Amino acid sequence: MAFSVHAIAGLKYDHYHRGVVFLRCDNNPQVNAEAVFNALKQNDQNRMRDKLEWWMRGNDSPSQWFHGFDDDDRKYCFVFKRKKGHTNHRYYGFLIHPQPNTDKGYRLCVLTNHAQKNVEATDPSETNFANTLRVHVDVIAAVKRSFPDN
Amino acid sequence: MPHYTSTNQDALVERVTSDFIGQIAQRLEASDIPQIELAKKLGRSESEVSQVLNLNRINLTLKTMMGYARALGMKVAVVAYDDGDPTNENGPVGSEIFTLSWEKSGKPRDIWSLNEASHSTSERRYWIHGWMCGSISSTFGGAFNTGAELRYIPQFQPQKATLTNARI
Repeated sequence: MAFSVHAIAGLKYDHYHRGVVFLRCDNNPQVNAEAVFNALKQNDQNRMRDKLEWWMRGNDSPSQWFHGFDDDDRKYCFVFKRKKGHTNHRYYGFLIHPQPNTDKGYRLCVLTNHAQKNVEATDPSETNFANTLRVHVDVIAAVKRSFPDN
Repeated sequence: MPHYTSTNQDALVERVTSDFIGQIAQRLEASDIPQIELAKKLGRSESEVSQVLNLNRINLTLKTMMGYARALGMKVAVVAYDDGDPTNENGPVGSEIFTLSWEKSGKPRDIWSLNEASHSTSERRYWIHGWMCGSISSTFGGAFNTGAELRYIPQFQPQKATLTNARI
């Protein structure tokens, strides 16, 4: 499968020690975080950008906007949240240090899949999917292409 | 690519408001005050407060923002600053950066307290362009003549000026 990572339009990446990107895979509709984001109205996109940039600037709360996961098997998973009406939208992804040699402090959140839910608990299949992509050799290669480390 | 707030004034206003709401949401989370309790203090419905905290309702007046802050024991400062980015290519500096800088400086209440903080830390020096008033960057003497409220604005690239050679 051909994976690639893509910057989010309108965000500036050169000021921060953290970044958020979308993973793209044309052959796999489950990798849909970018497509769902792009389909949002401009205002709703901007409110998501507000939250993404808030995290990129170094904030680790509120969990109402985003959070990681404590349990060992999901410790690299991450989610950004959006609530509209009674519908909860979740953008799942994984965390990675893409440049351990040249910028080891830089942390990247690669958003992969989107889900809607009406219950508080996370569906494990969503984080499992992000976790699987995290260690996928082609995904690792795609991140390295966009974030060269030498 | 320019920042998403660079060409749209409404987007910039909303982003500044989002930053404020982020600070409120952080405070609420840290305080363990239930959202419904905050709503009661504000005299608003929990649904409305939820919409605000989730950034679905962000056309807040300064009075409303002050209400949220006061309900959580906080205050609000409206800060104008010049970050050397007149076309806003890079977007605004986050409000939490100003708060953290102020806290790191010992929460000074006036210019003299800030000076004392700088003297107490031998390695630490404050730079004269850290003091700004509106869009006018000025030394102390000039800033007091503008008639606008003075605020401490931390700069990201300190100048070489120190307290001893600044005109205080």
